[in-house]
Amino acid sequence: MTFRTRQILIIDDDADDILILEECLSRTSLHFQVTALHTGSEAIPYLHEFSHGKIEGKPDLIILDLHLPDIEGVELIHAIRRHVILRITPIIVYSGSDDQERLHACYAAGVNCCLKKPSNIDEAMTLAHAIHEFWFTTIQLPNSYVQR
Amino acid sequence: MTTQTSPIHVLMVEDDAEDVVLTKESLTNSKVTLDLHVVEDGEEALLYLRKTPPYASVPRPDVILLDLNLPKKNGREVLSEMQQDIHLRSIPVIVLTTSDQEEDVLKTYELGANCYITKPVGLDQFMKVVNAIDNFWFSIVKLPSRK
Repeated sequence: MTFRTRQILIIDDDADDILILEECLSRTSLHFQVTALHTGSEAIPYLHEFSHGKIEGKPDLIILDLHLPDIEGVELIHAIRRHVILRITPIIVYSGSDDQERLHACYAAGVNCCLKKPSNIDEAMTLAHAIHEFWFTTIQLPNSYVQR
Repeated sequence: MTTQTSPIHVLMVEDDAEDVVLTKESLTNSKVTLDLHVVEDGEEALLYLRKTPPYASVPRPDVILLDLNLPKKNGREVLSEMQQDIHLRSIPVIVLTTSDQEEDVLKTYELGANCYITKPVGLDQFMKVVNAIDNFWFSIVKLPSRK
């Protein structure tokens, strides 16, 4: 059991969905801090500023809604995978779509896993438990070793 | 949650017979139908993935469980060759290995592994890890090529 505060970056244009996921995460025993971004026009400058040391708190995990209003999700995944600091930070993509071609494109672009986007509290709670019990308990994250 | 229409094909690349037995045993209680294939070294894994005889008619795996320390070609070489192959790079790879060395973890993520798990010591702990993989990867995750 670790008590280090985990940094989670959530990129989702629906602020309510982010709040629901944060609430569900707070019901687990995970110590976490969320940075929320809502659009590609917020995410791209964030990546730029992060690589220039203007932002603290390297994310342990990135949760990305594939459907953002102003950027193609797969394009954003490529941008993160090219990023000098975040290139191996795990990315969980969620989406309401079952488009197989996009699913393949996401995995080929280097996401760590794709999930169905939670559409109610129960599904958000399932995701929160999965983040806590699988990503932060079972697996070795690259951020366990790399410190900024 | 995913709705299962056909078995989930899992390729396990593992040279330790005991770990194979334990994994199979742990997965017997899975809520989903799994079709587990085992190969014992990295060379065989790549033959399997490329459907090279004697693997011409095997299904494409939905997920790969990959050990790092393998005979002939190691897990890092398998990952590296998969990344360079447009037909293979989208298959999720779960690395399950004895190593907890920083260099192995970072290098493995650099090579495109989807997650890295250190095999725990002890039977119960090992089975718990396999169950965690089962509960997450085979029940919650949307796997490529699965409707």
